[in-house]
Amino acid sequence: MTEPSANPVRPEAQLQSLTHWQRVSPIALLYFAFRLFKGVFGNLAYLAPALLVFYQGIKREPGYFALGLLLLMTALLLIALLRYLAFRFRVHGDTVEIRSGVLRKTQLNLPFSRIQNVRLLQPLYYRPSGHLCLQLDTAGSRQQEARLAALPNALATELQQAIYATQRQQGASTENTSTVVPASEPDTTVGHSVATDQPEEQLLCQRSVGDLVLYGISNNRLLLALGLAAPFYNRITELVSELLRRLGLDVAHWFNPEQQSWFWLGLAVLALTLMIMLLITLFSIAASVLSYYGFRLTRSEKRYIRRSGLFTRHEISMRPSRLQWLQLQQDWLDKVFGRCNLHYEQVQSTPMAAAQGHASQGKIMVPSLPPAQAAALMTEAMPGQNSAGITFSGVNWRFLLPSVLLFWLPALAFSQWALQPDDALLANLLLPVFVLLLGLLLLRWRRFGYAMDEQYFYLRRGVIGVDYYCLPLYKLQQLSRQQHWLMRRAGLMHLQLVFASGSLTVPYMTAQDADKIANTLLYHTQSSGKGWM
Amino acid sequence: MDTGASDPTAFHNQPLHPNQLPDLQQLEWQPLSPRYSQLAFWLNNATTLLLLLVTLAYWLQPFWQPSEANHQLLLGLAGLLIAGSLWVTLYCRLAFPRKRYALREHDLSFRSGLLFEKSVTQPILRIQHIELKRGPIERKAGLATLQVFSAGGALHTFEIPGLPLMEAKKIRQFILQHKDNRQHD
Repeated sequence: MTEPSANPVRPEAQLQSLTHWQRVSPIALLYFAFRLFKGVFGNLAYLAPALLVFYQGIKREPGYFALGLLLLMTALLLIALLRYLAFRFRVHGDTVEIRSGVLRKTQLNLPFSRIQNVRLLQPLYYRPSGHLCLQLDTAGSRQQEARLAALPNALATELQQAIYATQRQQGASTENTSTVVPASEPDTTVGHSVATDQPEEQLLCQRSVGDLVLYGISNNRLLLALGLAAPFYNRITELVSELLRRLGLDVAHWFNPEQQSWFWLGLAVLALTLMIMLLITLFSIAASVLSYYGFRLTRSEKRYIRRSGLFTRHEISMRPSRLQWLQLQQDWLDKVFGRCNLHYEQVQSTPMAAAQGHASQGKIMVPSLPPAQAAALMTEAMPGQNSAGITFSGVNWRFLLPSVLLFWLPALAFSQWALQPDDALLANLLLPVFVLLLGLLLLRWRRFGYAMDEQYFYLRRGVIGVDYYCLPLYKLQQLSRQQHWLMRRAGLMHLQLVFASGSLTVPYMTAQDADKIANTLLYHTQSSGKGWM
Repeated sequence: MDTGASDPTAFHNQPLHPNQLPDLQQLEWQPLSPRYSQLAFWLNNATTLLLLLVTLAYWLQPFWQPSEANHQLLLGLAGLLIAGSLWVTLYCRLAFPRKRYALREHDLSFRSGLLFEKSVTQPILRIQHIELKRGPIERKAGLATLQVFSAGGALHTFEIPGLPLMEAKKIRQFILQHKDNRQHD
């Protein structure tokens, strides 16, 4: 019981230097500048087509363009400097206070107890000097999120420990458990890099580069980017063929059906497709290794901690109680490799942040796990879960009706009616596409499955890949049951379950099951007395 | 808040008899204030009338004469809008009186819809905060909308419209007291 006296004294003694208003280390200037550049030029990418229009102008007056660019850079550097100078902070009692803003001044008071997560980041350029960027996440809005851009390694770790220690004390007062931190903890972490384990941490999972390569291949997000870039294809191909022509290659010639036989044309198209696929896959692998290199998931007494990153090392931590559900994701290529990815889903800060993909930065995901390892991790996080062994009930075949009747059949009929007289070949070519679509729909219907045991609700869904969800019954936020009169006659219902991490819908299940599940979920939520976070 | 939840290793296995659980089928549904659907009906009618008047004004005015094709197009659009407005009026006339809410010890439910019926249930324990919303027309009619926010996000805000003000206040009080009780346990 020496904890109350020993624990607060230590960090406070070492954090003494933070009690007066001060700026972050000057190296943060780099960080501010990078962020500003990223902000400005990241948005400039949207203006790229416009820049192409100005291209002629730039070519005519390169001097003015260079001057303009120089002025812009200087202005940005100046703004970064001003922002750096305006950013001051102190740790006053158990509160982090931040004053920032050049023109619009803001002051942020952040009590330790309100801080949900302390994330430590180390961009590449901080490594020589051993600085860290400390990001403080709160449950509130995004404006409430605070970053201390550059603190010396030791100080940042100490502040993190101090915040956690305060929270632990507050937790301990209600929990009445002795969660004593080894008194030497702050000292042992001093001078170590972020990736060093703290003594109390238990390693749950590690990923090798081989695993990450598999993850990179199977989770090809760049294909999506390729789709988004579609509007610019024309311009890009023009640029590329122009470039190649200068190198003495006439690409257009290869793809011209008037000059080439069908066989060669097919070969050229195939080769090009393969090359693009290869490039994309290589990029994806590189991206995967970059962000997940040295992946370690550890569990301390009160937190899951994920560390990874080749250049910028990220550390994300999450309290186990904040976990809302587990998602075991297996895309079709994952199935080929026999791997799966495990998502620890926690509270979604804001829908906007989720939509913009910021949420993934605060999420814990373990890439490319063999199923046995995934099951072990799931059981560790949710003891007693049985997602592998449980029998799933399927949803009713009427699930297919709306898509078939309202989309598939009309589209099929219309395409045949419109195309068959003029272009029979195209119409016939479309038929297999429709068969394929129907097949996918059937697969999706077969994949839907739900199950429930004493503690968890399980959902299975997907088309070719599969997603398994495992949800603790008592973490329900809201539920809704929906049916139209045809469904009522068939005794069917949609059941939508809202959790803090999002919502899941089981369509076309029997009304009897839906009611039973709804009643059980409500009962557990209301009677268990357990909080959701 | 995180007394039990922060320790997920604690194994618990309560006995459960599915037939003895409180059943959502046996909720006692309460109607909203009859003034609510009346008000909606008159508001819808007023909107339709306004659209009709605007169309009529356009038809009769001598100042602006668009080309024949555009004239037809504008009239067609106006016709569509009026038809849509009439449809909405009819739907609301039939659907709004069917809206119901139900209160139990530990949750609120709200049911709506004509052909597609939806019933939402919100456990009171998971409520973050409550708002009584009253627009100018609702204030005139002595009505209020009760909004309940959970951690499920803005998309899943639970809402009961058309409550008499006193009733809305009572429900709010009931929820607040419920929360207090739980916290002092």
